[in-house]
Amino acid sequence: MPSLAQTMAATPCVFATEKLNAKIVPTQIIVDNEAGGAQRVITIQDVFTPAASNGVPGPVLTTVDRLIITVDNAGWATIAAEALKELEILGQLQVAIDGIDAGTIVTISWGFQ
Amino acid sequence: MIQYLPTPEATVGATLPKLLQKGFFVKFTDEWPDTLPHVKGKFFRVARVNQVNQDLPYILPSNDFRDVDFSNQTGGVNLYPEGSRTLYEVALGFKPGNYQVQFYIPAGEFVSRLEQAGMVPDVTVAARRYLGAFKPEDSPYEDKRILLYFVKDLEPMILRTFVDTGCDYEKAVFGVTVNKCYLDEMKTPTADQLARSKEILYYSQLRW
Repeated sequence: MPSLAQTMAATPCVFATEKLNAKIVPTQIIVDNEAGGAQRVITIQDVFTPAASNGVPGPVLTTVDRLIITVDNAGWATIAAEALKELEILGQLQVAIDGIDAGTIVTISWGFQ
Repeated sequence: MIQYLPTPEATVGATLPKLLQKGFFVKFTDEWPDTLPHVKGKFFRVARVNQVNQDLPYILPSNDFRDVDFSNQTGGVNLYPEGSRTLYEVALGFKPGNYQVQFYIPAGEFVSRLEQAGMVPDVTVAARRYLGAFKPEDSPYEDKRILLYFVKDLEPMILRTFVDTGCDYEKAVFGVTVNKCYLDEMKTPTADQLARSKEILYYSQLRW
């Protein structure tokens, strides 16, 4: 399964682009804010353009916040598979932060369904 | 024709392949229309086969639907044969999700209906939302249980894909295996060949 660690020196940070014939299923999320400058709010986002449908014939790029984590200054947060098993990303998996901070490191592992 | 293969209760003896194979026989009923003279009432031997896989993904909003046209007409997904001696046997399965499908052929004509007046599928009416619907667990992606039969110039088959309420969006992924069958016509099949053949019904025969 893929895994990627990135500093939040930019926002949002893309972890995985959409796999067209599958959903992305995160299996572990670690937020290391030990070297961060302040308490941070991390948002796991799902970005996609829906297919045209009966109700929305002209769909546009859509961003849905799937998970929001607050991490204390100099703290850690780890979310393991059991807590993530119902989290599905339909499109692109990306992470946003409330304040750009190169001291905050996000690591995500994921699989496909 | 649409065929649904339920989970077997028991198996006895040698197993049969799910898809048509070389040497199998197929018989198109006399109810096939005159507009399809290349198959109407005819009997064929499958001369050769080739399986072609395809995935069709759609992200759709909750409580909304999309009509997926399987035919080769504009806007369709081009899963119909172009040769008059080709039969496409299409095995269809679904990845898990909060969605369902209903079949129409041609557009607006329901394949699944009950005999009481008005008992036809309609995803916009709560009481008939699930009428005639197939859900992903009915035909899993890894064990496709829905078989569709397409020939050249058949009316378009429409798959109405409805994302149910209870989520914001859902990704519906259809797994398709097109079993391309090249047919040799047999003018005078024996009684044994007729008995062993797979009968392919026209859609109107499923809609009494």
